[in-house]
Order: sequence, then structure tokens, then C-alpha cells
Amino acid sequence: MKLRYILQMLIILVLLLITDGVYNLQQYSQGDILERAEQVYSAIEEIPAVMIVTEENSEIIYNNLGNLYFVKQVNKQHKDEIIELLSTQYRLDEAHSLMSKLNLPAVLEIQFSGETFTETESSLFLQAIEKEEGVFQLIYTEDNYRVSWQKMAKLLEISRLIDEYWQWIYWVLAGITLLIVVYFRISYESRQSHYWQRYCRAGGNPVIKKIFRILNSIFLVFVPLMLAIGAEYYFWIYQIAGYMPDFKFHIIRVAAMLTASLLALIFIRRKSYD
Amino acid sequence: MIELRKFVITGARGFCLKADNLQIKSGLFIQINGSNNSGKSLLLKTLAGLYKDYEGELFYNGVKEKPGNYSVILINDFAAVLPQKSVKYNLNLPLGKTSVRKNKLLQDMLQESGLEICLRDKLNTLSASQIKTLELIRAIIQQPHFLLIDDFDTYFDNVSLENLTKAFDHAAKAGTAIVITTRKKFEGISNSYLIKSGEIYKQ
Repeated sequence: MKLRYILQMLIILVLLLITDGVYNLQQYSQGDILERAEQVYSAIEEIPAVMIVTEENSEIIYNNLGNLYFVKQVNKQHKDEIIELLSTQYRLDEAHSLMSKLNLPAVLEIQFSGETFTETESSLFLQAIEKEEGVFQLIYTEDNYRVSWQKMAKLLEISRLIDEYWQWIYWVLAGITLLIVVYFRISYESRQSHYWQRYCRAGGNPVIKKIFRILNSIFLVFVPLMLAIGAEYYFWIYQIAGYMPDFKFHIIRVAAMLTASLLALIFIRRKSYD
Repeated sequence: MIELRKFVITGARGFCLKADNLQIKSGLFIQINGSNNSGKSLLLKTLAGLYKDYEGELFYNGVKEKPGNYSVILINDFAAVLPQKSVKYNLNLPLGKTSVRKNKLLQDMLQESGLEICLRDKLNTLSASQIKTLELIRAIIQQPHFLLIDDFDTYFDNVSLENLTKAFDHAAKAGTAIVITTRKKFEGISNSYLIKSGEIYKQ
């Protein structure tokens, strides 16, 4: 095999590995952002709003708040639970029966969904509370969530930037790879045309020429592809850096490389030797 | 066998060659004589399927066929060789694996033509006549149905013809029809055609 041919294969392999790297780095970065976002969501969910409401209205409020899309869960502490808690906490065993006759309020603990609860949802929540009757007290302040919201806004911005710029980088790289594949194939076949022209005119079998063209396409495009996939397989099997291959990405890339190879063959076929 | 019917080849600037009733039978050695610019090369290129500007019909073994859609090798001013490679490499260029019998025949033909001693030499050290001899031997060993040699007298003379007797005999036995074009008529070749005033006549 000629040095030029091996060099062409190596260049294609390097380009494939770079696109692999870019793609996987993007996936890794997005995964990292998702992980950090999950932490922010947990932080929001860990700080509930507490409402003290009348026992009579508690069920309606409980249902109304539970239906809000940004509310993950509403916990209601019933009168009996509160009496039980108070009597245990303050050793009021004798007053237990007396307290059961009292008209005690209910306590609602509202846990927000970290994914959907933002400043807008906070306003919606306050508006929803205003409409409710029988609310004694609301223990809630936006300041508790502000740091999380700021963190989230930053993460979203970074994620958007990654998606926007990295996608461009990836597509440009993919485009360059495809153009280089087409160029290498045409350039190689053009150089070979001198040989094949003489071979055919000397009475050689034209089918051999076609077979060699197809084999060249396979070697030049598919050998680097297989090597790149092999490298990823190695990373996957030996769990290096927790690598997980994206099969969809590979299928699309193989299809694109096949298209480039066929495109080059069409260009080559258009060239007439005589 | 090739037979041309109502066959007219059109060249540049209104040139026309009427090639009616030309018959090329298997195993025959045919010469087509004609002066410069009479259309000899164009005729051979057309028969080889390399020139497409023609009208009429070509029959190959009685079946209408497109020119070139049969086993044919054309030897003309185009050198189908790689000058930087050795004589041996060029000889084997289209051959692939050859049988023992063919190999023996090849050795005989090379010996007869005097090319045997320069097998390892680079092709660009050979004379034009030697290169054409190599092309001729290489073509004959492949046993094509038709071997067309343009401007035969430019590269070969009567001495060359004698030196290549074995090669031509083998071609005849294998059923290869050899068609040569020349400016001057070679004696001893019974099947001759003449191109004159844009037409082919049997002599």
C-alpha cells in the first residue's frame, strides 16, 4: 500500500476521532450540567412553604394547591396529628381529651417541583394563595429560592451556549470530514486513472478496475471508521472515564460516510478515460 | 466475425468514411491500406468502440451489436504502457495469472522478438518499435477476438513480420482476427482493403 494512501486513511481517522471527541465532550458537558441542575432542583424541593389554614378549608386548599403544575407534593397535618404531637411534646396527656374538643387549625406543607418552580411560578403561587379562604398564616419567602434560581439561570445559559456553539463546531467538522473524504477519493482515483487507462487499453478486465474502486472506497472510508468505533468500543468495554457510546450518532455517521463515498464514486464515474 | 452494413463514420470538418461491406472473419490477417488522413485510424477506433460518431449497423457473429461490445484490443499511437516500470511489469499488466502453456508461448514469442533479454529493463529504455512489439505480444497472448493495429508500417517492417511469425500463427490458431492499417501495402497478406476517396474497397 502506498504511503499516500496510508496518510489519507490516517487523516480521515484523526478527523473522525476529533469529531468523536467533540461530540462526546458535548455530551459529557451536558451531562455535567444536568447533574448540577438536579442538585439545584433538590435544593428547591427541600425548602417547602408552610401554610396554617382552618380545618374546614384545608381539604379545598389542599386539592387546589395539589393541582398546580409547579407543586410536587402537599402534605397535610391533621388535627389529630397536631394534638398527638403537642401532647407528646408538652406532656399534656390529661389535656388530650380537652384538646380534641378545640377547633385547631390544619398545617399544609407545600413542596415545589424543582424543575418547574421559578420566579414566575412563585408569583402564581402567591396569587393562588390570595384567592383561598381560611388561610391564617403563610410561611414563605422568595429569598429562600433566589440563590437556586440564579444558579439555574446560569446553568441554562451555559447549556444553551454549549448546544449552540458546539453543534456548529460539530457540523463544521463533519462537513470538513465529508469534503475531505470526497476529495481524497477523487484525488486518489485521478492519480490511479493513468494506470487504469493503460490497463484497460492493454486488454485488462474492466471489472477488476471497478472492484478496486469499491475496495479503495472500503479501505479509505471504512477502515478509519472501524478504527474509530473500535477505540470507542475499547473505552466502553473497559469503562474508561465511564464512557458510553451513542449508537444513533454512529449509525448517522456511518450513513454519512457511505454517502460521501458513493458521491465520490459518482464523480469518478463521470470521468471518461478515452 | 464482424460485418458492417451501411456503415458511415463521420469525422471532423465534414469528413466521411463509407465502410460498407467490410467483413472481418475470425483468424484472418487483414490489412487496410490508405494514404494519410484517409480515415484508417478512425475506422479502427470505431471498431474498438472508442469513437462513436457513426451511422449504420455492425453485426458480430450475425447479431447486431454496438462497436466494442466484443473482445477487442487496439494498438495505436496511444502507448498502453507504464514507462517507469520494467518490461516484465508492463507485459504482465493486464494478464494476471497465465497458464503454463500460455507462459511457454509467451517465452517463445519474447525470444523470437528479442525482448527476452530486456525483461528487467525499464520500459523507457526501449525503442518505439520494441514497445509496440511488447504491446502486440501482450495482446496476442490474451487471445482477443479482434486485434487492431494502427499504422503498422510505422513500427513494423518485413523483418519484424518474420520475427513475429510464431505470434501471428498463434493468433490465427486462437481465432484472433488481426486488422492492420498501413500506408504501403505489405506483400504476402492476402486479405487487403483499400481506403480511397472516403470508401473502402476489397482488393
